[in-house]
Amino acid sequence: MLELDGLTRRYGDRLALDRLSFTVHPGQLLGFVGPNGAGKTTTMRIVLGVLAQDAGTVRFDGKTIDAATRSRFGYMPEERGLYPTMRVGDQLAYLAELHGIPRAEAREKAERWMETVGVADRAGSRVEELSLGNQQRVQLAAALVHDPVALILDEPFSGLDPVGVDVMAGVLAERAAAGVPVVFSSHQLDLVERLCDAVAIVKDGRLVASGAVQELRAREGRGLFRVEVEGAGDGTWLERVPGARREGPTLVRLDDGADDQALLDAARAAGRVRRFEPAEPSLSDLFREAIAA
Amino acid sequence: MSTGKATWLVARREIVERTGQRSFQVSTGLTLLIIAAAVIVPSLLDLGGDRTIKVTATGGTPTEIAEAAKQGAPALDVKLAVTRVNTEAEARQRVDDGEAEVAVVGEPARLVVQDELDPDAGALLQQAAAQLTRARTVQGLGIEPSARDELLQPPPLETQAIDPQEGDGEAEGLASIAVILLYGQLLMYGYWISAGVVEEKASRIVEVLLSTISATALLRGKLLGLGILGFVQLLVVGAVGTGLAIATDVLDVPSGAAKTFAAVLAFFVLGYAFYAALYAVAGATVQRQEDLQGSTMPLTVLVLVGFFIGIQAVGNPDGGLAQVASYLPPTMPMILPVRLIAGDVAVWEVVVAVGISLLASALLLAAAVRIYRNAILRTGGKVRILDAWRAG
Repeated sequence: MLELDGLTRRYGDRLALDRLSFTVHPGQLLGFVGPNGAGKTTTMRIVLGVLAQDAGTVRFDGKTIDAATRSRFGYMPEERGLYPTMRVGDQLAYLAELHGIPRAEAREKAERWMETVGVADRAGSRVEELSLGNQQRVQLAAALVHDPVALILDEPFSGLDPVGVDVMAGVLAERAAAGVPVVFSSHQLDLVERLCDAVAIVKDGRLVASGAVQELRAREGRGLFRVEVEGAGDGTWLERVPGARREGPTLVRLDDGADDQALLDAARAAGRVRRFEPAEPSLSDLFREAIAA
Repeated sequence: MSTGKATWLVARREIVERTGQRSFQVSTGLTLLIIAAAVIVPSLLDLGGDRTIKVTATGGTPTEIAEAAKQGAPALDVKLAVTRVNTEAEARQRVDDGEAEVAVVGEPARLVVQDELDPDAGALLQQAAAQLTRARTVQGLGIEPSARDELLQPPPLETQAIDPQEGDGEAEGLASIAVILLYGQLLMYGYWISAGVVEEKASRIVEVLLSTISATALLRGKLLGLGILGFVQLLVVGAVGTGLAIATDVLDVPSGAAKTFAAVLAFFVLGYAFYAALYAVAGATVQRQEDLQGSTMPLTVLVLVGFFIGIQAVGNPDGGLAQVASYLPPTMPMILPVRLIAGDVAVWEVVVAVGISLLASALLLAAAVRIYRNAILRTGGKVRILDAWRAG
C-alpha cells in the first residue's frame, strides 16, 4: 500500500502542494488527474525522491520510504528520458542493475520486457534510431524492468498511438492484477474512466476529490437528473420546482429531500418530455465539477 | 544499493559506452599516430639520434685504435660500430661491399676506404691513433705515473657560459610532449564530462536515474569512469610512445622517456581531479549541448593559460612565472611536470604544489556535488551557479 500523507512543497512563494494525501492499495489502478500546473508531477517526483518535500511523508506498507524502498519502485517521468545513443538492450539491463538486480538477471529481465512491449527486434538499435512510439515502449519497459513493487507513471499515454495505448493499458492492468499499486496521471479522462478503479483529483496543489470511481459517481450523481423537454421555451419552468437547480443544458440537480416526481410533473406541464432519467456523471463531469468548486 | 556500488555501475557504463563511440576511437588513433610520428620521424630524418659509422678492424693495434676512437664519438654526435675481422683481405672486402665505411688494418695501422674518408671517422681514428702512439712512447720513457697521466690526459678546459642554456634539447622535447599530451587530455575529457552531464539533463534520463540512485553517486561515477578511461588511454599512448622511442633509439637517455611517461600519468590524475568537478558544473547549469561552448569557456581559457605557461616553461623551467604557476591549481598540472622533466625543482616545492592542488580539488568536488544536485533537474534557461548553491 502506498500512502501519501500531507505532502507540502513550495517553490519560492508559490505553494505547489498543499497537504496532499491519498492512498493507493495493492492491486489498485489509480488515475491521478488535475489541470496543468496542479502539482501532479511535483507529487510524483516527491514520491520517487527526485524532489524533496517541505512537509509530509510517503509510506509504503506502513513504513516511511527510504532510498532502498524507492529503488524498487518503477517510474516513468513526464518528459521521457533515455540515453539517445545507448542500445536498447544495454540500456534496459543497465537500468535494472541500477535498481539492484544482479548483472546476468538484469539481462534476462531486459529481454523479457523487450518481448512484452514489442521491441525485442530492436534490442541492438540505439534509442535515437527508434520511432517515438517505440521509444515510449522502451520507456515503459525501463519503468518495469526491475519488477517494481509500486508503479508511478507521469502521463504514460501521451503520444501513444491506439495500439500503443492498448499495450500500455494491458501492461498496467496486468501489473495491478499482480498486486502492485499503480498510479498514473493523465488528461485523457475517458481512458482513466475505462482503466482505473480509483481517482485522485488535484487542483492548485490540493486534493479536491478522491476515491473509487463508482463511489464518486454515486455520491456526485445523487439528485442529478437528465431532463430534455421539447417546446419548453426559455426553461424558466424549472424555477417553479422547489429545490431544483440547473447544472447544465440538460442536467438538473435536486436538493436532498426534494421530490423527483414534482420535477417530472413540472416538466410535463412545460412541454413534451423527451428524456427523463437519473444521471450518472461521467468522470469528465466529476472532474469539471471538482475543478470548478 | 550502496553509493559505492551505484558509483561503480555508473563508471562502468561511462567506460563501456565511451569506448564504443567513434569520437573516442578516432581520438585514440590520432594521438597514437601523432606520438608515433613524433618518435619515428626524427629517427628517419636522422635528427634526434646519432649517426652510426661502421668501422671494421683487424686484431691488435687496429682494433685498439678503433675501440679507443669510440670515446670521442659522442662529442661529434656520431656512434662508431666496430666489427673485428681476422685478415686485411676480409677487412678490405667489407669496405668494398659497403658493409663498413672504413677499415683499420696492418701494423703500422692504415685506413682503407672506398673512395673518400668520412671526416668524422677520420678525425676520431686519427686522434685515437695519435693518442695510442703517445701512450706507448711515454710508457717507454719511464716517468712517474702521475706525470704520465697528466701528459697523456691533460684536464680539459673549464667552460664558463655567460648566459647558460638550461636543460638539454632532449629533456625539452620530452617536456613539450608532456605539456601537449596533458593539455589535450584535460581539455578533451573535461569536455566529455560536461557533454555527458548535458546529455543526461537534456534527454531527461537524469530523472529516471535519480529515482533510483543519488546525485552524488551519479556524478562520482561519471567522473570516475571518464577519469579511468583517460588514464588508461594515456597509459596505452605513453607505453607505445616510450616503446617506440627505445626501439628506434631516438633517445640518448631512455630513462628520460620513462620519467616523462610517469609524470604525464601522475599529472593527468591531478589535473583531472581539479578540472573534472568544474566541467561537471559547466554541464549541469545549461540545458542543451549548444550552450556548452559558453559555459565551458572560462575553463577552456584556464587550461589554455596553463598550456601556454607550460610551453614557455619548457625553455625556462625555473623562471619566476613557472615557479608561481606551479602553486596555482589550474596551471600546476601543465607546469610542474615540465619543471620536473627539464628543470630543477626541489622535493618540498612539489609536495607543497601538489598539496595545494589536492586540497583545492577536494573542496571543489564537494561544492560541485551540491551545485550539480540542485541544477541537474532544473529546466528552462541557464541555471545561475549561486542559485544552485543556495538551493542546497
